[in-house]
Amino acid sequence: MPQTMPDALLPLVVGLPFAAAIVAGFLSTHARGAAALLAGAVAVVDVVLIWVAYPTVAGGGVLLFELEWMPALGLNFVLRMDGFAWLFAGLVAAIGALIVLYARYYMSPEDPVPRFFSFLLAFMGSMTGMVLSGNLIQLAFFWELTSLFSFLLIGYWYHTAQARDGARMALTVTAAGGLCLFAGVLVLGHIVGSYELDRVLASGEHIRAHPLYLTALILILLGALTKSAQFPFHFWLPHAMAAPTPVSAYLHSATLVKAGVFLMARFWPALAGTEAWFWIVGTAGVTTLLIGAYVAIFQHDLKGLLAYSTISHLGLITLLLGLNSEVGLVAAVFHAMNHATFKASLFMAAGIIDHETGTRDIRRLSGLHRFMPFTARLAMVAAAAMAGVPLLNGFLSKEMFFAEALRAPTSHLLIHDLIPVGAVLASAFSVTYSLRFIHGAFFGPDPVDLPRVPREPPSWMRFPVEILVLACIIVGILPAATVGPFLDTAIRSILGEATPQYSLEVWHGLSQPLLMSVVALIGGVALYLALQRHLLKGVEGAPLIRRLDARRIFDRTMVFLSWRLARTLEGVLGTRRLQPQLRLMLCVAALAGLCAVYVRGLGPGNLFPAPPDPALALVWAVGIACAIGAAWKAKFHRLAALILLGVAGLVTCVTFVWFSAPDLALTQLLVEVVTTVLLLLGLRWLPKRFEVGRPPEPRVYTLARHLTDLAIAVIAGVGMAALAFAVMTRTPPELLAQHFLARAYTEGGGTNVVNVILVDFRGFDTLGEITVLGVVALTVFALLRRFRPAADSIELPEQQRDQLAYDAAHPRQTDGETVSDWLLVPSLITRVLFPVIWVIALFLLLRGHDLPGGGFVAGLTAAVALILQYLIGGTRWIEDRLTVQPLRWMGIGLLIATTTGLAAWLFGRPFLTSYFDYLELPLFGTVPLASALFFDIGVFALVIGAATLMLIALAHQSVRGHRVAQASEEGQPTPPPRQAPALAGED
Amino acid sequence: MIAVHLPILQVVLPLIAAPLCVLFRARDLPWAIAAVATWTAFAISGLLLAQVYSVGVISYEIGDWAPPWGIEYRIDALNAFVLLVVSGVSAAVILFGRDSMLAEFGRSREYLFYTAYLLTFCGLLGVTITGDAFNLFVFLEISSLGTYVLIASGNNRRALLASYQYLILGTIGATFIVIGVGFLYAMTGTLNMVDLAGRVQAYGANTTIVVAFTFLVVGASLKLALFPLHLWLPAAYTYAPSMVSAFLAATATKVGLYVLVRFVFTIFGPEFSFVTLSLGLPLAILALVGMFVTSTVAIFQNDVKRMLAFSSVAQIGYMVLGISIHTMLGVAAGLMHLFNHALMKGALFCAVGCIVYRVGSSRLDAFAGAGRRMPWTMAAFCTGGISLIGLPLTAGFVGKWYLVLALIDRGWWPLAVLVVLSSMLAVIYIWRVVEVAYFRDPLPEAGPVEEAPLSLLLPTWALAFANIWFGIETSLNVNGAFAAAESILGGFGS
Repeated sequence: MPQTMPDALLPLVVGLPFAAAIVAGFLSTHARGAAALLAGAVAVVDVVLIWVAYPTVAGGGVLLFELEWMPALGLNFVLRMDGFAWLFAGLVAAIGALIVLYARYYMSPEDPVPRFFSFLLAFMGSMTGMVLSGNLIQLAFFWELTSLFSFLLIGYWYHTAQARDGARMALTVTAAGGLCLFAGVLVLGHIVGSYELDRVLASGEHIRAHPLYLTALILILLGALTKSAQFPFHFWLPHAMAAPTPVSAYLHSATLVKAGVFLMARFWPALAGTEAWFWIVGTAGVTTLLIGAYVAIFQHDLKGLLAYSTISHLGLITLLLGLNSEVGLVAAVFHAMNHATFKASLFMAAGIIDHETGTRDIRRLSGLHRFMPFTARLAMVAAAAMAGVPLLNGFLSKEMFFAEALRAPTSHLLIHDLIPVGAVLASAFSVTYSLRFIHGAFFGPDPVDLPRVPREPPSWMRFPVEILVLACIIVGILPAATVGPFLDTAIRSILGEATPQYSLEVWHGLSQPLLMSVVALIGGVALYLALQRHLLKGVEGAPLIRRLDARRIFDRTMVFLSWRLARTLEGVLGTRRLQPQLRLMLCVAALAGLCAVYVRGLGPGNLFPAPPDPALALVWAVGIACAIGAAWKAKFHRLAALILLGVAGLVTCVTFVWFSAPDLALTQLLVEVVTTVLLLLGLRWLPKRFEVGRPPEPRVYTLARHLTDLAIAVIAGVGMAALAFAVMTRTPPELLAQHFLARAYTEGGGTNVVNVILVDFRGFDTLGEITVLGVVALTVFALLRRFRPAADSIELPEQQRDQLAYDAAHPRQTDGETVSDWLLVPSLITRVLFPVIWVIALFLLLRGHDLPGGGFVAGLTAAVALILQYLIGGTRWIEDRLTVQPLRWMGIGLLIATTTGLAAWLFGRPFLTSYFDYLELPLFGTVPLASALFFDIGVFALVIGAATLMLIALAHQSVRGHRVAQASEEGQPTPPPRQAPALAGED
Repeated sequence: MIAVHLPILQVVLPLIAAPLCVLFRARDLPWAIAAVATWTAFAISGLLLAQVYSVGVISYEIGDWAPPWGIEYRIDALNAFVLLVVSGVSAAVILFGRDSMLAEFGRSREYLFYTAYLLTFCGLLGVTITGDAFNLFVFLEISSLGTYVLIASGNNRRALLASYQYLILGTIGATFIVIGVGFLYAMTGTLNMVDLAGRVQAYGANTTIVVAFTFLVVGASLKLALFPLHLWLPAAYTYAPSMVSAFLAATATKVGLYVLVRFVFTIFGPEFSFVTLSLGLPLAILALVGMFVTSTVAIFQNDVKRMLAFSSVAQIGYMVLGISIHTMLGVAAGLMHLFNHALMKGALFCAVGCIVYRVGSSRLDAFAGAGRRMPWTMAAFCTGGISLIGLPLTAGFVGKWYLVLALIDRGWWPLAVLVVLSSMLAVIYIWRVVEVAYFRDPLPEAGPVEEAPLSLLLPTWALAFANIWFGIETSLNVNGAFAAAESILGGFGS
């Protein structure tokens, strides 16, 4: 195999446009010339590079370039150029070069032209990458890139709504198709077992026989048909005409829309040849062919006409591919090339007209051939090629199309006859709209009232059109000598051995296809003459199907999907209220629990509970009654609920004592005390009643809601109780507890097993839990930081108001004197108690390791001492005297606990390894000393700090709240929140 | 010597750093402490991962008590992987945090914020690293409570409400977990995960164990925001400061997922969870419905943070879907997406943070004109967005790719197609932002806006670049996820 071009040049072909795109993106906004020069140079270099590769591919060789990416999965970056890829890459680069030249003159200097060229180059790179992909995934990737960059190009004039909508629509349709394609190639790769294009193309038999063939086929075709604007996905293409004309010329002639055709031809050996292929591709093709051609006749916008004509021609190519015949494939590829040349030139001509006259409306244009004779002639030749006039390239491929249409491979007679009829009809339509384009724009009386005076464009702007039109003519006259070899190379690389005999002759003798051509030409002219009066009336849209607007359907769908559906879903599922969230949460849990029980069944265990002691049973009855009462009263009588809750807590406490767990009982008691006080402080600030902001609803709803909530609550509560009962009536397994009991003293050095577990066996959990406590305090602090009491709870409580009123009414009393008189004795006792409680706390701390007590309990006890002072002295009194800085206490406590753990490292032991010994002290005698004690001291400090922080944060609200109330009464602005002195340094 | 103690140092370091923040409050010092702690933790997690790959499972016996009696830190390929994700993203986010927090939170009580951050960080690491079921709960509580503080530091007063709602729901979720652990303990008498696994599997599908399983799965699902238990998440991410959104999105839900995986695979075992109790089906259904519903809702949002929050829920669907397949490929895909999603959401939220820093709002309108005025920020946003959509050459692609492969491999064809289609929804909501940023003129009242400062851009770009890097050099995320999947699946399903 002759190697004239190193394979490594392939990445250059793909990479250059991207690199240049980046460079162009950085050029200054007004560097029109530089950007055009850069883009042109890159396109020309690409053409040259591709041309250099021709000898290799012509000899049947394949250029390959491979980079490893995820080799384990067979996913590599592969560039692969065979004859077919070469042909398309060449078209992309060559027409690209002409487009750049044209755009240089077309684009206005006011537009940010470098950005335009940057997008154009990136698009060119993506297109090249797509046709050169040697790997399915990579192909899908570049495919999506073409969608993306075409979007940017179509939306280039993003300041107009038309451009934005058109661009968005194009992106939505083609990118959605691209995703289908992606899914499709995944399936295909799965069938084949590899994503390498070579292997996929070689296993056509296997693929077609596979049960997943249809899935893969449909998905891949969805990708191809959306891209190639086939019915019913054609609607995006006309709207993409909002793009600058060079973009339309490029996208809709040689590149974007041809990608779908390319894909179908590329996968031809793997996917084609089945009934399913014929029906899907053929139906889409023939429908598009007819509808596109029909609608094109009635367009008043030159570009709109060309857009629908493009759709129709793409339908023709698709139909050819769908016929499942090899010659059909040849004709399809040939027509794709021809269409690229004449359609690009026509778009450019339309652009020139627009550029020079300021309008593209056929109804306003007229007689232009007198103002721009040269352009007129070029356009006429190109339009003639489009209509299929002999001696032009369009004629050749149309002849082949007719020949194939006559041989449609179906047993169904009706279909067999319909295809040729449809082909002639569509050709006649295409003659009609070509005539309309030429006659409407260039002939007739002189135009009136045009935005600009028409004249010939700069000659370099016309140059690309000249080149393309010349190509149309040369190919039309000497097909075999010009494009013959290229076409042959391309076809051979697809079909290999199966390449059929075909002839690229202008004259095939008097045959049926020729007859059909003549009929179409005459019919088309006749139709134009017949329709001329109707067309001049200027009615928008094509008769009969005017109301079937695919775009409107699309818009409605999008609005539904992206707006209504989302809003409904958000309404149903995105609630921001807490109550439904909680309800959902509990329901999910209950449902999951029920499912689990349903799977396994639930019954009591194998142990029969011992008959309960009547005394304990009574205590428990009280506890249960209080708990239910608390739930009952929680909403409107919070204080009552809190008291009842306290009783329930006490019952738990008693239960602990009953079952000989003094440590737990002690902790429970202290926790009850502290939390009750904190809750009281907090409840004070809740609004008195829950205000329902919504309009009153019928009682039935309220009742239903209440009943539902009740049911959920009962199910959850009873469920938990049942579970607990079921679990506790089973033989307990060998618990860790036995182990702890056995080793607490021997290895942990303490006789209080609970404490040894807490500070030693599972000391790390305790460290975690005190951290939790610390964070809880921080959370309270953080949440209260910007707390503002509800308006109705700012008032002073009734008792305080009465007392203050009394003080105010008696001139000898100073404010607050009544209260302090009343509380004189209790406050004295409490203050005396303060040090006593602290001593108790220290005592509990020290003896913790062997007897009930420990750092946590000690800390809580100390906190109770502080709370008592608050109760008696009032917030201000305490705040002025408090020296505990809670945050520092917490920090230091945590540090002490952690460092104790770290100290074990000094002895080469893991974190938190404990150590204990007995210390002989004078006077005290032998004192047990465990490292756990230091740990406990840390716990102690942190608990005090955390409890105090919460206390201050909550209690301070009363000071702040009343100041706000006073200020608003006196009509003053709200004073800045005053910070509690103990936290004064915390800002 | 220190090398032996790396496991505990991983958790204790931020735990010590947190009180230090309270004690040393000089200007910027708390931030510096947090940054140093985070970066050291990041380094430690890297060392741990290397150690696990070279010598296998690491066990650290806290207090020198041998498991199952004492608490054991047990590091295998799974949690070493998650540790790296959590600490890595945090390392980038903390750098981002300094200026971002100054703008959104102010100097006052800065130290409190970093204390809460460090505690949350410590909690997340502790949950991940521990080999003890109850210890896991304790650290889960630390991280959750820390999260409430972090969310409450948002500028908007609604942050308080969001934090409060999350507090209520999160507490219920945590209660479920502790109840589940309690049942397990009642049944088996042990808390060490390995020990538990042996005993649970010996008991088989006993009612108590099934109930414990249910509680643990529901509790963990709430933490990881599995649809429909995700309702707390959008508000929390929206009103939290940008740095917190980035931090939480990249770490908190990931650790939640880890907890689920740990319970389901290590403690109960795949055989029990997926064959006896067929957990796969409900998980897959919820994941799929969640993917579509929340992605659709994301399209509708007008606040970009809220949009990304809904997107997070959808992305969690991908991870859970991978897990629910319970094959090697599936679990690996789920874990890979965990890794990748941390990177992409980190990058996206940081980019939004840059916009908030300059424009002062994360509403869609605030993005108008950002494409030209903050090109680097928007480029990072686009990179993250492309990764989120899952285009090749980004990390997002790799995860989705394996997920689709796993679904195909399992024979769940339609699901594979649905996964690909659901990416389209991501295209739409990312697109909405891109369109506004590049094609809409800035609001007149916005005033002059310039590119975000380097201190914000660099971390943002580090994360954005990681999305590209791990889409091309896939050895860490792909092999790591496979090693992790192997470590929990054992021979199951192969």
